[in-house]
Amino acid sequence: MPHLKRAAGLLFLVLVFMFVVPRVMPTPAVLVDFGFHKSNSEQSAEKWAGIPTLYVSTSVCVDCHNDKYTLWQKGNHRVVSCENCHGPATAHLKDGAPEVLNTSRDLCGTCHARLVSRPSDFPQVDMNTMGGDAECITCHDPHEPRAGMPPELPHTMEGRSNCQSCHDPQAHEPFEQIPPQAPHTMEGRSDCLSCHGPTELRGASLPHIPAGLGGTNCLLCHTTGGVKPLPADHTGRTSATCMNCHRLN
Amino acid sequence: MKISRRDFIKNGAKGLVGGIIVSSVPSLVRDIAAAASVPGSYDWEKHYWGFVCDNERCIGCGKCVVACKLENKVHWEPEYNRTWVERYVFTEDDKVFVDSPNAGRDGFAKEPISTKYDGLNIRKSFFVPKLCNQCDNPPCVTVCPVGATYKTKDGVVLVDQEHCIGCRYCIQACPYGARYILPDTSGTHFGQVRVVDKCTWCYHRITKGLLPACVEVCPAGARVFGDLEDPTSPVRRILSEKRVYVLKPELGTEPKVYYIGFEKGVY
Repeated sequence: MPHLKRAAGLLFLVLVFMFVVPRVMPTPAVLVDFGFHKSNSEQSAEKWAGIPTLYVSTSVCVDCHNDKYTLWQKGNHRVVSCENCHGPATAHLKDGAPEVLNTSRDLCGTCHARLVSRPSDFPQVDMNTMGGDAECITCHDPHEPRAGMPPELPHTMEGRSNCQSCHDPQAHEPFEQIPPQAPHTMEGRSDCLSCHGPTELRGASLPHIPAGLGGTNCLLCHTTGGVKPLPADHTGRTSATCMNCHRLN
Repeated sequence: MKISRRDFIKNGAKGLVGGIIVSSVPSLVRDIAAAASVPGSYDWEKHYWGFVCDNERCIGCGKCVVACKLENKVHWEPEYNRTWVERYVFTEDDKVFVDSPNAGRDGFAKEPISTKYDGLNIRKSFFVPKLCNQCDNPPCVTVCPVGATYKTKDGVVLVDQEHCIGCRYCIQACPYGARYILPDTSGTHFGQVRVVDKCTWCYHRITKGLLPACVEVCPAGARVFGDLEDPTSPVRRILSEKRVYVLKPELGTEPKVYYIGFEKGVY
């Protein structure tokens, strides 16, 4: 039955033609990709990986702004990336477009306004009273916010000699609030170093620290009652400042 | 000459099977070719990304939300977010309040908690950054009827927006609210609208060796990103040193955003 075989062969060819031609020729590729309801994840991921970036990261800023970087690296803001405040740098890199920087109190307050929800060890201020209405950056260099500011308390005497440049009731406003408030004021005092200076200048009348103890953790014993406890006017002091007054013998 | 019924069926079946086989060749060739290509110089088999959010460090400044919106062209309106920050407030009488004004985009300093929660006896309060958890067992991928959302080999859940039909099943399925529908062309990367969009952990950045934008700008170190395959990565260090928690572990989604400083009531 050759004609039957011929007919079957013809049918086969027609069917192949019917399936292959429409599939290969006029069907848009996007339809074929649907396949068994599966997109091509590798191609799609490649597309996602290929979209342009906007934030360039601090390591790029350093290339040109090394002066700012050196300052920034020392300060407490070294954990804050450049683009956090300055915004994404891609446009600036492309055509050197000058950035429009927001220097308002609100910008600083975004992080530093006092909020109950913030971690207690994060520096926060009352934005209503701190520094009046002035922009924060008039006093604080944003790249090194504590530059020129009082040291974090308690501080040592190391490298300091003129106490009254800060601890002076006649000095400008911010320092009025800082210690010593307890236990003593500056009233009637002028020679800070007789107590707070180097060992040899300290008052000999104050109790001495036994040399063998070295003044490492005074409060470990001086709060227990086993040895002489702290006098009442020493409330709130820590071991870090004992040697500011008490001579090591 | 008549063709017998048997022959007709026999030959017809042969033709049909042959046609199906032959017609599947082009798409097979395409699939094989695609599988062989590796995206760029980045080898996604060598990485497996992880993320840490530190609730004890987050200061609620919202810089992460802003950076995400700029970097990923996410709509500025607070209804559309790939990442956001929530404020949790626990009172002395064991009530829990959660809010996220403008999704945390403008920070929380403008409206102090003292006015918003006036009269409440607050026991404690903290911020919780949220984003896609890039689950190891992602329910969004399971429910997608067209296979348009998938997990990459480096552990990130992405959406093929050219195949997404915008049916919103995945939005329903995601227990973390990480997905949204692109409302118009302003937020699209590949031209599609009314398709689903989500956090990609900045896939375009991490595949180039950069950090996700939110991690890049976080001033408090509350967001940490790294490679779970790399023993020296910051994420691996935290996972080996700290007690970490995940959101809704009972759902078995196996999230890869790990939280430090968790609290009963955070979900």
